[in-house]
Amino acid sequence: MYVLGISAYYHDAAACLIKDGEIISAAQEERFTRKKHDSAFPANAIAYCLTHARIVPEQVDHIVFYDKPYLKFHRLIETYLAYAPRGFESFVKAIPIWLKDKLFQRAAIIKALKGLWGSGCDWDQRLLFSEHHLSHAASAFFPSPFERAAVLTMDGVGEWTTTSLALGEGANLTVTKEIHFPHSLGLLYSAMTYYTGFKVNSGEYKVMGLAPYGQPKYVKLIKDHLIDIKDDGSFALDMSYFNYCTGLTMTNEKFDALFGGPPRTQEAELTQREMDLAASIQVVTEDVVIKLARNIAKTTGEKNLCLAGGVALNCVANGKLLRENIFDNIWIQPAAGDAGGALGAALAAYHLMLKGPRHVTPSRDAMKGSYLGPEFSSTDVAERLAQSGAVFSMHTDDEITELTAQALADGKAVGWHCGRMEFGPRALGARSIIADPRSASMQKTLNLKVKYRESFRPFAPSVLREDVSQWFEMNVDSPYMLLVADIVKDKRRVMTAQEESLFGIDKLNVPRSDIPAVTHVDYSARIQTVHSGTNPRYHQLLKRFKALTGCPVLVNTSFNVRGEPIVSSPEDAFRCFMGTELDVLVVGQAFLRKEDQSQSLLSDYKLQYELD
Amino acid sequence: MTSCVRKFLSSVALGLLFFVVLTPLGFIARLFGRDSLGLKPRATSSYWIERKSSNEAETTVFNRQY
Repeated sequence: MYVLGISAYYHDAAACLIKDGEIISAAQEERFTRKKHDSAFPANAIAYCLTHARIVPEQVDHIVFYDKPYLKFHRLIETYLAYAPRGFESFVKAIPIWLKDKLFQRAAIIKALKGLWGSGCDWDQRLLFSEHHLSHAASAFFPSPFERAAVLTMDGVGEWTTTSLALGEGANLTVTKEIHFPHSLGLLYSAMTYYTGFKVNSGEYKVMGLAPYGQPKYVKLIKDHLIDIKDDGSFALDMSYFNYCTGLTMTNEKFDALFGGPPRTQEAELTQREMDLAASIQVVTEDVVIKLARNIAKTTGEKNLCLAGGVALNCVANGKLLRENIFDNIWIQPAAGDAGGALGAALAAYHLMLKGPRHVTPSRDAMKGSYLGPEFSSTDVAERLAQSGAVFSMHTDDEITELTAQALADGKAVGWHCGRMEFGPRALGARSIIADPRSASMQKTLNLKVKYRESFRPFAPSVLREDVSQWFEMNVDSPYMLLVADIVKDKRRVMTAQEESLFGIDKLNVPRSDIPAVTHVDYSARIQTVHSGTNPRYHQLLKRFKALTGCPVLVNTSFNVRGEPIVSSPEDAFRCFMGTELDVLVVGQAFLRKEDQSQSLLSDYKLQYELD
Repeated sequence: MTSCVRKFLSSVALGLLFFVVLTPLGFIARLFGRDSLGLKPRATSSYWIERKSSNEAETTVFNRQY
């Protein structure tokens, strides 16, 4: 039995196909349309899922949308009722969109399916709707390696729910408690993201990256005024400081007055104040997550915790939660944001409605390393590259490993396009830019010559799973780059007082460990453990790099430039390679050197995408 | 829906709907203590809301948009 999950129309559109409960393919629409966070109906992602499974549309037994549009509309109307006559500006913007599209989501989806698949089937009969947080909870529990677990979901908002607790056992999953809009940890974080001058829905990552530069001096102010946190971790916001219910901004003048000034504009310089605000909101978030987890452990008695929802992408908070040892095991859905809702919706319908059985493999999750996207055969790669005008040589896997490890050890920046594309926001060694983390200048070089940004965030390390505890203060799997831990003490370099007093990026550029390119100013790193079972080629490469250099760690950053979705096809990879100062490109079994390429194909790439 | 109808909706109908229907309704509801967003301070030890277990078949639940 095939079930197709879809998420669309709000943030990241995506599709996921499961066969008898097994996740066989999943991808985000942005990778195909090359439009970041594309929220349009995921026609390309759906087409890919079916092609990969080699099935025709009629074989799809159910199509499951990831949330319930009517409940969302109800929330919208209740919000206007609660605030009117305030909110007219937002009403005028929102209501026509609802009347035109969103109220008729069923019809819109059917129409889109007919456009894609024809009218050969009564798609209406097969279309189902899951609830937003049930989709998140299902994406966190069903693929987890646990027979039973408590499931905590936290995000901005779904229909009404912003936080939920569910209990999972076998093929069952029941949501037991919720916190409702407008009281939202995700939206509180987004409000601070907005106030510190970053883009809501994508800049949250930057706030988290900025936090280590700051002192959490606004924690008390936030807790006294913005959020009331109960002993069990449940919370309510004082909405008189926020504008997101009725207005077009996140915060209001009262919020400005509380923090002593207007929001930073996007172009304005980052100051210590933004860093302190970031550190403060990060501390508050961690406090809430840890309190929630403690109470959940106490009241449910569960030993395992599963997480999903956008807040679960806060890997710093996840790392703190792990170190609290409240649960024996924690598993986090890699596509924790709305894209993962597609996966959860399909799994929820399969297990809960269709009563499909669930098979758990202890200590191995069902995400297949999140390598669920398209891959390209050797012949296909060779053809596509040749058509793009690339000069390349084809090799065996072993030769590719050797050539690449050598290039990395020589300090080259490498584009690495191998195997199936990752599902979720992170590049995990299938569509990655990789480099030597030991180099003191690599961080700067990659940012300026490849990613075209100046970043106060260091890159993330990929490390052999078997070596993780020798380099980082952590000894669990973190295959999805969702846990942050510190570099071990004997690999650190102590800063002089003068170096400590440096500000911002200057501070980051001082090497503070044996692997400076992946070490943040507080010695933390966002770790990806690499496993031979899920990504043997990347694992092999790390092993060879270690043999050459003694270092089982590589810099891993997503294969794209600032503002661009991660590359998907070999053509995308070649275009990005030619548009940036990457030295080497590997596409499957093809090996490309920049100096061999035709100069005429070099392009100025960075201006094609807007700032993220 | 034509763009002309949309224009009409956005100017007159939306204004009427908001100020003549929603605003008084909301005002009366608030007068009677309705607080569906939990905007007023609440004397409670927890902000969790228990989810009522439903007796409905999952098929029914998954088939509808609410």
